[in-house]
Parts: sequence; C-alpha cells; structure tokens
Amino acid sequence: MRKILYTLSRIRQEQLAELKAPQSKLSEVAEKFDWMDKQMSGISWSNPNNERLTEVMTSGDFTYAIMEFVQRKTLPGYQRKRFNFEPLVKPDTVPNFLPVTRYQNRCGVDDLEYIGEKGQSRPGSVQDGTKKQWQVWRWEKQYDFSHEALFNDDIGYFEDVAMKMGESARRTLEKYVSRFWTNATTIARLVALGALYSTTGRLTTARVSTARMAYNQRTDACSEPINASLVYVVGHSGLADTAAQILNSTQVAELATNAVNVVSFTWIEDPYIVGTAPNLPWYAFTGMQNGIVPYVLARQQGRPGPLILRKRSDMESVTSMLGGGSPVAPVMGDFETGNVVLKVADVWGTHIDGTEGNMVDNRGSYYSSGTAP
Amino acid sequence: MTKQTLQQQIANGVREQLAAMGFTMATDAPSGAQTDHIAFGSDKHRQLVGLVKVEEGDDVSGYTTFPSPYSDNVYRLEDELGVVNLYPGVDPDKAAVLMLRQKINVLEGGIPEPPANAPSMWTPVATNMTLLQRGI
Repeated sequence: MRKILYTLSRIRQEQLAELKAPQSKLSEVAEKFDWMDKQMSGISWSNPNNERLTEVMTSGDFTYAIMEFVQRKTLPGYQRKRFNFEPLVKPDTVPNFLPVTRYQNRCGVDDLEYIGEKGQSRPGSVQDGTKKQWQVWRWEKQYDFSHEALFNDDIGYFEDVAMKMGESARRTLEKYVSRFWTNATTIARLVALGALYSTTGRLTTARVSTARMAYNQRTDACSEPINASLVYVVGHSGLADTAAQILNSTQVAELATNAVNVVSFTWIEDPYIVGTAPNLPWYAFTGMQNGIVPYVLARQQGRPGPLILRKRSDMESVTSMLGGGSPVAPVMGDFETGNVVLKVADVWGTHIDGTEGNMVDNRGSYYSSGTAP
Repeated sequence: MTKQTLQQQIANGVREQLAAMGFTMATDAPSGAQTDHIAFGSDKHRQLVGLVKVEEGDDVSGYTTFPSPYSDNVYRLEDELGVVNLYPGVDPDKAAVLMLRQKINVLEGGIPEPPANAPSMWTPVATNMTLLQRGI
C-alpha cells in the first residue's frame, strides 16, 4: 500500500511539474501525501521522525529465491514383468559361433516276428537319427555418456543404468524365447500337423482336457506310443484369471465320477504373446519331458549370462611429458572426447527351420488361436 | 533316360526284391507321412473332442442336442456325465448346451490361424554387417 501511495505521490508531482506549478504547490502536495501515508501506516503524526517510505518483503515477492524448494532426487522406476520361460526350453551350450549338430534317435527297433520250427529270424532295421542344428549369435547394445553428464549427475540418476542394461538383456532374451512359439512359421507348422497339435478354442477346462488327450496320443517317429503329457499352459496375460478359475475348480467335466479336479497344469504367463480379447492365444507344452525337446536355447560356453562392459579410459595422468603415468578415473572417459562408453553383451541362439519354425520336436507343443467361443 | 535315372531305378528294384525276401536296410526317419495327423473337422477330430453326430432316425431321447452354426449337422455329447461334473450347480441341460457349443465351434469352426499381428520367425539377416555397412 505504501508503495502505491508513493507512486501516486510521484505521479501527482510529475503532473504538477508539467503544469508549471509553483514550488510551494509541489511541497504542499508532497506533505499531504506524506500525511496520508503516515495515517494509513499507523505512524504518529506528532512524532514523524526517522520514518521513511519502505517496503515489507513478503514471500510473494520472491518467486525463485525463497519460494522454490530446491531439492532434487530420483524416484525408483518400474518393476518389469518377468517371463519365467526356463521350464519350457532346453538349455544347451555350444563351443563357438558355428552351428552344432545334435542327433536324436526318435524310434525303437522293429517288432519281433513269429518264427516257425527251424525258421530263421529276419533281420531288423534301425532308424536313422533325427538331425537338428543350432548356433548362437551376438546380441549387444552400446551406450555413450559424456564426461559432463556423468560429472553433473548429483542425484545418482545414472547409478542404476548398469542394472537396467542387465535387465534389458534379460527382457530381450524373454522376447526372443517367446517368439519361438508365437512366430507365424511355428504356428503354421503346428496347424499343419492337425488337431492333435492345434485347436481354435478359447481356454476352458474342456479344451485343456482335449489338449491333454492329444498329448496322450503322441507317438514316436515309428508311430509307437510314447509318454507325453500336458504340463504347462502358457498364455496371454489376459487369460490369467481364466487359468486360475480352471485350476481352482473342484470338479471336472471329463471324468465319469465326481472326482476332484485333475485338470492340473502349471500356468505360465507370457507377457509377449499378442492377441485381442476375447481371442487370446494359449499354448500347452510338455516341458523337458521324456526326451522331448520342444525348443532349445543355446548359450556359448563361458557366457551363461549378459556381460556389462566399459571401455577403459585411454588416458593417463602424468607430471612430466616423458615420466611415468598413472590411470585416471573411468569417469574421465576417452582421450578425444571424454565419452564414457558402456556395452551390454550376450550370446544366445536357437534352432531355426523354414518348415518347423523354432521347434526342435513338435511333440512338445500344442497351439490354440483362442478364437472359437 | 539318363544314366542316373537308370541307376536309381535299378537300386529301387533291388531294394524292393530284398525287402520282399525280408532284407531291409536302415532308412531315414520318416518325415513325409505323419501317422498321427487328424484333419480339422474330420470324424477323428469329432471323436477327439467327444461329439456324436446325430443322424436322421437316431433316438436322441434323453440327450441334449445342438445344431451346428456352421452346417446342417446336429450333435450330442458322447459323455453326458461330464456336464454334471463340471457344472454341479447348474441345470444339466443348460450346461450340456454350453459344452456342445464349445466342442462344435472347435470341430467345425475351421483351422486355427496365427494372430493377425504374429511376428515372423527371427532369422539372423545381415547381423554381420557393421554400422557403416548398414548406413547407420
């Protein structure tokens, strides 16, 4: 208020000066404004000494200096949804980047034959092995940080970057594995194999039971029955409640008695399966059962997991041009630009076939498009 | 006739003669013929899902039947007890319809398709290229 009065006083004095008012008039106006100011400010007119027109500082006058609470900190990021694919794929270790070959005898030998008196048995035959090959490839990503950015980071923003790089390696691997069975080639192969390997039905108890019956009819390469059973149901995230409902049911349709639910399986949520509700795909797998290798995840010998690598600084600290040097802190970066370079690297691979998709053995997979109600 | 074709024919002939005499040779694992193939919509498929096709004149008294939305076929469940076990608190006739519809949809609903946005199979194309070669 006092500032306003002071401003009004100055304006009036300027106006009077422009009108060429006498000095006495100017003094009179100034005194009147002074009196008004003191009256409104509660200052006694009888003792007007040592009082001047001043301003009181309020917080509203300091938008930045005292109104901004300067505290910076980072908040924890998100926890990633994990895909526990390990039971579904066979791990294998390869020595280098060249394709390795695996043979599997997927057959027995011939049935015996009746031999009459003095008869001679006929020679039997042995089936050739099934040959499968796979190899590994490099998977990497590189990150450059400027020396200034790392040095200016006073809130630890970059502290968890290395952990995030490791997480990205795992996430990439999960997507890679999920694609073993979600890719169009693998699905087309399962569909071509017929109703014992695929269906259209949405996930229900009856459909899981049908899949189990399909597994019960699995045969070897010589059409002889083998042990194969449904162990895992892997599905779109939207089917989690449906799977829980099936697993928690107390009775089951396919039994002729009121027995407890034997439709048991282990539910694994695959967050990378694509689908639009209500048409959500699901799969039934045997896992690593009875020599059936549905899918393989190959890693390189000595490289069981991702490596997070940092390029060592090529600088050294010296006190004389020709004297000995000592290493500098990694944050100094490289000699030319001061960049600090990190890389996350992993090595993995699988079986790839233009017809079979990524399936090493189709006996371990069952696909449903989840489209039929 | 080329020499190679002639050799192949002779080899096949000899192999057949030996097989007739009981001499068989080790062969590759069967790859072409799939003995456990069940075609979608076939009779084997119908048996797999547990349906019975109702024909003209069949006595279906006591059974719940359901017409196919895809054809003129009418079906009943092979095992009606299953309905009671799955839905103990529900009218068996209503539950039977639910199960019949499920099974008929699978039997006559066509072949499964991959999702429209299914990814292609990953193949290591051009992974040995440097960034410079890729133009990055």
